[in-house]
Amino acid sequence: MTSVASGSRTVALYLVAAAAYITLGVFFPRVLLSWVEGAGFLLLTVWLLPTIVRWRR
Amino acid sequence: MSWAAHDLEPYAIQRHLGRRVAMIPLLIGSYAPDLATKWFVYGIDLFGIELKADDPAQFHRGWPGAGFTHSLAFGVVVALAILLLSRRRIWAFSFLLGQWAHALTDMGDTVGTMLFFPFTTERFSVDAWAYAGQTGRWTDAGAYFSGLGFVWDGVWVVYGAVNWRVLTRGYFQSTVLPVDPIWGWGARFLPETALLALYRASFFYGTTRWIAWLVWAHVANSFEFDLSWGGPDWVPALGVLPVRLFAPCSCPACRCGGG
Repeated sequence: MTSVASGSRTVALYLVAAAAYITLGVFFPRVLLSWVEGAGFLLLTVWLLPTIVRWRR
Repeated sequence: MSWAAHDLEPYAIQRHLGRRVAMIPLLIGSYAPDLATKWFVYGIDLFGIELKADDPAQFHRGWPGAGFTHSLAFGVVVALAILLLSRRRIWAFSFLLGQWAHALTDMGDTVGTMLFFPFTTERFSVDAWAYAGQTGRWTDAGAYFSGLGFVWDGVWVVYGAVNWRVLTRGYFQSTVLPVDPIWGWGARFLPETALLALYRASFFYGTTRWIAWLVWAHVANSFEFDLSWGGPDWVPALGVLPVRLFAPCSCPACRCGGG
């Protein structure tokens, strides 16, 4: 994969994570109150899930 | 109080000071004044017993209370302790900058901070947005995201977006990683992609919750925007005789001069 494609994929992952977290936060605002949950959500979306998906392929 | 500025300001400081600061202690400093106290301001329910300060603003910002955590001296004392224990000047300096940024930012609300404690317990405030912590978390969120508080946070969101390079992998590798051994220690357990996500986490958290709270307050609920100074007026704002930096002087000399 080229570095440009890799960079675009990373930006897309972060945007998906942001959209999902914002949507979740609007309907369940309690999730917006914890930094640990926010950071955990980000790690899950941009690192752990993609790693698991790659590993299963 | 601020809802997202404390997450975002460290990235502006990092952008300007580069290798002279370490991001982790900078962030810890930025969160430090509220770390142990915020839960008691809003209250929590523990096995059916509500634990909450009788006077949230006094506890949060006053003395007697935990208001000393929002003073410049508190930052100096903790920074000195960090220096003594770790011998790392960059950790102490970074913590100090983060804590001072928090104390100065919280001067924006109507209660203000005891900036010069223990020399004085006067609170300094610019009165820009209403302090409504005593009304509970949800009303406080609605009020904050309807007044000038959310505008102030928005400044940091935009500033971060304009200076997006501070969030890139290249910047992380060249400027953030080399100055702080904590990242090297973390690299023994986590890949760089995960470390990078942790480095970006506060920016992600601050920006996304800023958007989410705005949508929650004005789309999911119907809190009314009021960008007047000290607003919104619909919430009972606290302001217990702070020193108002931009208030008109009421001394007899100024009154006679028509000022």
